[in-house]
Amino acid sequence: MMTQNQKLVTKEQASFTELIEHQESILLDLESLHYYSLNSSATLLWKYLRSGNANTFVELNQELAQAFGVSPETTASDTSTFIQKLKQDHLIEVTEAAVTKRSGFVFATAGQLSNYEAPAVKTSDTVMEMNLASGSSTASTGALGGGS
Amino acid sequence: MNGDAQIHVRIVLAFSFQLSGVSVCLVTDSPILFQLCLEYFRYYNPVQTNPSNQFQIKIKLLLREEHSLEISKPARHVSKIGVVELRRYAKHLHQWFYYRTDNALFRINPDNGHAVGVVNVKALELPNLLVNTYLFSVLLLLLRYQNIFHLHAAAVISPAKKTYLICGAQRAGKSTLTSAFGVAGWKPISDDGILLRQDAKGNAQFEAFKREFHVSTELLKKWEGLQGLSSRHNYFDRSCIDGLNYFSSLELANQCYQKFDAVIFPMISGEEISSLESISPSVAIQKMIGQSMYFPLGIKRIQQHFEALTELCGTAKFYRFLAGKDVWDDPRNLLPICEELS
Repeated sequence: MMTQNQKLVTKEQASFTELIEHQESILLDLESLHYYSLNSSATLLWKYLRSGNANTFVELNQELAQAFGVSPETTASDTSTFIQKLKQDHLIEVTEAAVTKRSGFVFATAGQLSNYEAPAVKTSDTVMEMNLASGSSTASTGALGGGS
Repeated sequence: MNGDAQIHVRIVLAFSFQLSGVSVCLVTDSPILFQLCLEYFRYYNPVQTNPSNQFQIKIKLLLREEHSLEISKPARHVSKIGVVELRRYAKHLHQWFYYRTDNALFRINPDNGHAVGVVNVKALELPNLLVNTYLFSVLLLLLRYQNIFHLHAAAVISPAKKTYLICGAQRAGKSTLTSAFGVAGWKPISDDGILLRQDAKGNAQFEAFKREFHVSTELLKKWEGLQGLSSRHNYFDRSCIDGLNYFSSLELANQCYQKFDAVIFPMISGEEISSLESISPSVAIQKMIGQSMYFPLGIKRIQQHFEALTELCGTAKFYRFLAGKDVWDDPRNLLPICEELS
């Protein structure tokens, strides 16, 4: 059972890319090769977690509410659901250790974000399937993948 | 020692060139395979065989009569699709991959960049498949371990020097659309593949994998804009053409690019008129990963590959191109779409 002040850390082997112009981001679990797309509020929460600037439910909820200019009561249930989803997919875990801060994250300020939407993490199929051949292929090698 | 002693002379033919900043050397004892390699890599200028200790990818091809293609080591299954199988053998700090098809077996050491392939003469029945698919795939595996990653996509440069990728599985219409762009006045730099890597400063970039274009033979006869082209050879229902020179895009194909301005996924709609529709970037990038050779191989490589791909996609727009009969009838009907893309 998670408490409101437990510290959470993101999985190290996860690669994250923000598609700024599209206000969404994608996350790739480098071990399972599960692929996720995150909307703008989920992106914001992931960045706070990943950067180490907010690591508890309370801190995350506070940042989310502030960024979108809504009350923490409005976002509390959504933040909780988001955290549960990430835990369920093993993208975050509870830690007792000190959280290391990372630089290089830019956070949107109030007014830069679109209207508030609940954080959404969409899980796509795994990208585990491997192409083994490329270049032009023919009917006889149609199963190879790749090809003109 | 008797008087019948024979002297065996083995011919060794070698061809070296630079590809995406890496020196590549192909060595073979077969003049036929040598000629095939020379033709396939014809857009890459030969260089002196690596004289120094500089890293070099080296692929040796041995043509043999009915040679056994069994994998002797207890190599672990990695993946198998159709007739192509990839296995990996690892012991202590060493690893080898085995890339096997029905008529060829390659033993690949990705760490030192060397591969040896035994090719049965039967493979020469489909010589282009041997070079264009099997040898190329082995080369891509070796390049992956030099952090050079493949994406199965055509690339076209607009008159405003913007970069457009045309990505999709085989038979999605990449080559047709690429040729249509070429006829419409844009510059196709590849009709099948590009290579991604990081430059010295760590920024992602891409370049064309230069080779002949493969267009449908029917299209070559049908489109006026392709009338001056002759097929160098046929490859089933495809004609292999010198697209880079025909569209005057060889110089552009020699350059590196820092971003994708748009990525287009063609799909034959069966409608009269072609159209574009936007698609979500996350869906588009997932599709692109699906067209990236060996993507799930090696956690460090996956991360670098993913980062390079997504960095290049950073400001891109993503479209599905619903190819109608209009473009098939006359590629100049692509002009309104070109304007929409610009």
